[in-house]
Amino acid sequence: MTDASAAVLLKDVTKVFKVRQRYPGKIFTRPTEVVSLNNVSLRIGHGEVVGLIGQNGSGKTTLLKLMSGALNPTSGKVMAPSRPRLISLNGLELPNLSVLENTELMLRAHGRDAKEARVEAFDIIGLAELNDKTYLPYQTLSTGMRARLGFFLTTINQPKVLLMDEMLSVADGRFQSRATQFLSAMMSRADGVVISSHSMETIIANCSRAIVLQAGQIVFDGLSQGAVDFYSSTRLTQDNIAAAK
Amino acid sequence: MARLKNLSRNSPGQIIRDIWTRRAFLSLLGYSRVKASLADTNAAGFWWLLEPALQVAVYGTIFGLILPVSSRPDNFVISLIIGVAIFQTYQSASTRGTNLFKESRGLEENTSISPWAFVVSTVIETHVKTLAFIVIVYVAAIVLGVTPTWWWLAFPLVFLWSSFFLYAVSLMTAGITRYFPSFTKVLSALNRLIFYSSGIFWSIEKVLSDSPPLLALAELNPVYQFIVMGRGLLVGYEVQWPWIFSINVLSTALLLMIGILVFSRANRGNHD
Repeated sequence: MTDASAAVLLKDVTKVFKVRQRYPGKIFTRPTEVVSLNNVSLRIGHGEVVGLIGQNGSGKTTLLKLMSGALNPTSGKVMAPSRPRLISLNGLELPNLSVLENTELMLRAHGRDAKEARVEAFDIIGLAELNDKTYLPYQTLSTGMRARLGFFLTTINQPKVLLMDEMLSVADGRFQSRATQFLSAMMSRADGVVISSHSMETIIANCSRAIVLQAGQIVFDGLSQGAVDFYSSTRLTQDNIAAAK
Repeated sequence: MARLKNLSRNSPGQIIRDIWTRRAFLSLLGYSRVKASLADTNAAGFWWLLEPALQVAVYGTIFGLILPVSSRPDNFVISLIIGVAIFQTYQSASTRGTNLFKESRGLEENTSISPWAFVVSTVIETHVKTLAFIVIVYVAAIVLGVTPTWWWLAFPLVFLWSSFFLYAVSLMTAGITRYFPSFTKVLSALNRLIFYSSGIFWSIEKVLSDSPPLLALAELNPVYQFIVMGRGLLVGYEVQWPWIFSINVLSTALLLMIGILVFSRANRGNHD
């Protein structure tokens, strides 16, 4: 594994979460450990677009959060020339301030000055097709509307390495096609992209390489079509085992 | 080719640079949180001033009626207002600190702003709330006939100087709550204890004059020290400035060190 040309490099990364179990009728909780990633090594090269496939709980989101620095590994190292950005819909939400105020604040968080933030906020609200909601409290927006606004807010700055966690599954079809165009433009400018998705079409359409995660371990790393075939076959096998049980 | 960096480590220098470069945003965030807390009221700006005024009126009425005159501080009403104002800044910083990790997670993930920086916005938020108290203190002082002096101009500096203490308090409550979520229940009791032991509505010097060890212990409380400074500047209390300032610097530095230790451990844990 050569380090020099990596956009992101993971060396023997293990992530264990310490959680507490609650049993019905018991006053005290019991500590337990959940291994989310187990000894994962991975290199994302400059300019690569890599897909991340796996069932719920396989460790995809944990892997992305480790790459973004939002989580620390329990053991191993995560390295990159600059911090990759996880594009997620979490962010600032002061529900009783207006849509405009929330948008401006988020832009300021991304380093815009007051004037730039005001101008760009109107643009973003326009892109999210929320012009008629500009001065209404943020809390009056539906989940889909928040997702639209959140999407454009999280794509404000072009990061060098882009990490995306199920970004396109949150809004309606018409918005999805616009968002896809927007993301494609961002991806073409990025130095490396990792896309986590349950949509095999998204993986095949965007990624040259894909990784399949299963129970916190990489079980396949290769061409995206090969990864999708591998995942589909193992999922079928698992479904058969589950059905047989 | 750029060198690879370990992403799980942030040096103190990086943290300070981050806070400095984001200072405009952190101020705006603190201000916006106060604005958001008032947004559901009619005439938000009005309540920013009226809410603390009501608190002062209630405390003034209750303690003015029940407290024996012998244990009251001189210039009771204005002294009480100064005490309540300074206590509120402490209380705001301590309670806002308990929510810090929860509240800042989304923004931290999205913008890579360090949680250490969010503590700064908590202090700024506290100061935005405090501004209303400063206005009330000045108005009350004039109405109550306290003779204005040039020292009045220095009164806001007590609040400004308390920023380090407030930062330490927020660091501590954020850090402790990360490991003991039930701390929020203990904090309200702890804050009551500090409220009653800081000489807000009674004169510690008068009440504890017979017990020098207890008086010395009470003087170690930074909230008390800030109250003494405020009263010294505005009401002309006799204050041993070198002494009060020295113990204030020492106790703030100590709390800051404890706060940094507790918070850095909790911050690591928050990402573990």
